[in-house]
Amino acid sequence: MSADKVTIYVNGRPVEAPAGTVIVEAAKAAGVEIPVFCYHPKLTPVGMCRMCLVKWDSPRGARTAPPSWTRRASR
Amino acid sequence: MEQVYIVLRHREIPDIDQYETYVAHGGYEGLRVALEQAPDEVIELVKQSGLRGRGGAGFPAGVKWGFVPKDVFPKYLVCNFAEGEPGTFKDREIAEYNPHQLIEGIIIAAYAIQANTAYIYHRGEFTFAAQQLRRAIAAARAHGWLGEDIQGTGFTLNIYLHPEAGAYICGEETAQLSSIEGHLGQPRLKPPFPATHGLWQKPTVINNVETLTNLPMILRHGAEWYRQWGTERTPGTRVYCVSGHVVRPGNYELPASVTARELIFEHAGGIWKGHRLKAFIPGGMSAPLLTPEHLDVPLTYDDLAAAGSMGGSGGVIVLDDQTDIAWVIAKQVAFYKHESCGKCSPCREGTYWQKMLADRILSGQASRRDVELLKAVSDQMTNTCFCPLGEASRMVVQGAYKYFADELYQWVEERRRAVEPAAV
Ligand SMILES: Cc1cc2nc3c(=O)[nH]c(=O)nc-3n(C[C@H](O)[C@H](O)[C@H](O)COP(=O)(O)O)c2cc1C
Ligand code: FES
Repeated sequence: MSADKVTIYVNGRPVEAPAGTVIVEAAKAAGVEIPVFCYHPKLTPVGMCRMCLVKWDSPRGARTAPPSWTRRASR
Repeated sequence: MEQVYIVLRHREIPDIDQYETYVAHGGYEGLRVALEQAPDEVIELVKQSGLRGRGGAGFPAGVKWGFVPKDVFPKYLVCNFAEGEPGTFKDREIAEYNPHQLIEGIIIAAYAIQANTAYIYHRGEFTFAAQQLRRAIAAARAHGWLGEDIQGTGFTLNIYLHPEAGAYICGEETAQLSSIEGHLGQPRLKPPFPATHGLWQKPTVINNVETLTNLPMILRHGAEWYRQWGTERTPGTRVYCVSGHVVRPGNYELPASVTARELIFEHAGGIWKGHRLKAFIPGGMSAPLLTPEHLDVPLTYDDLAAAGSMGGSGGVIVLDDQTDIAWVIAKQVAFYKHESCGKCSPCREGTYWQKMLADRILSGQASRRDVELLKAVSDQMTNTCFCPLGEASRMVVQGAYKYFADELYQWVEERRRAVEPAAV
């Protein structure tokens, strides 16, 4: 695995994505559509509508619901 | 425990708001000690003292300063004097009667992070406090503690006052930054955190008034001296603002390890009119309430968190046994609905529904289902809101349900019987 690629697990399935990819896009690449409302690929993320919340097992323990795309894929 | 005056020193030394009196009692000595050291040494000392932020989250001040990158300029310091949390009135007393110690603390913090500009974001209604701060800044400047080349060290600092326009959310650090920049006071995404991307995307530290006012004494007397009070993880004193149904409401500066029982029954004189304690809110209105069984919990951040509440801003609101919990909840959610900034959906819509349901319960027009629905709405808001304002609104309701759900059911049933004639 090269340095700027990270592996994230979407519903338990590993997906490779370039580091810094928003999670919505990484999930889409894995065939999982996360519903969004205030997100648009051409705009900077604002995270206001909270429609895209997902469950996230963060490195610091399970978090219930961070907005999926405002957390950039890392680790 | 006796009261210990580290920040409320004006109670022992009248006229400490005058420059001469302040200097005669060791004023600006802490700053002199700081200026003789390297900025990193000051940060290290504050880390050792274990001083924790008094604004609400209790984050260690020295650790926060350590996150500031060394090579990015300019940097900013913001003194959070919004004091919006209901039941909190300590920062006002500090700024009105001990303004020089706050100014000295701001200069020390600015020196430690090497910021050349500091803002005091003060609550707009506090005109006397603002006037006192302006006078203190002018006196400090006249004596070479502010402006360019402070005491020949080459360090420059200017302090500006910025009045708040009356929104609770502007006490939240990122909303405060937006407000200072001239934008709508709404919170920003974190990360990036203000320590790296704050005011105008430059490194910024935001500290509460009480946090900063502790600094001159820590610099002067050292970390060990400060640690003689409080606990290992919450050293020093805290100013507890006691309000509600007590005999002697007011500010009490006590070692942080004091228990709620001692604070309420000894210092504040117990419950008024011979009534009994029903519940108390330990850390400003946003902290979930606790009941008499928690009276022996020390009022530190960790102990309160373990008891299911939080240390928050130190505002202790006492409720006697004549208080209806339906009224308490209605009061609380009405505040959050009014103050919700409208940025994110769970808070904007959730607080609206909470208020509607709480008002219906209070009016006696509600059914058991409404009581269940209020809990369900609050549960749905859990961990979904953009910032802690919405989370506070659901936490206070969940906290009240934890101990007083039965009372709410009883409340609606009694009132329904009163309005609906029994079926014949
Ligand atoms: C809704 C909300 C309101 C807040 N209001 C205040 C306030 O009025 N005064 C304050 O000092 N901190 C307030 N805070 C806490 C600040 O965001 C921040 O944590 C604090 O100023 C940091 O300073 P400290 O580390 O010295 O505590 C508030 C936080 C939230 C989420
Ligand atoms: S799409 Fe709006 S918060 Fe994620």
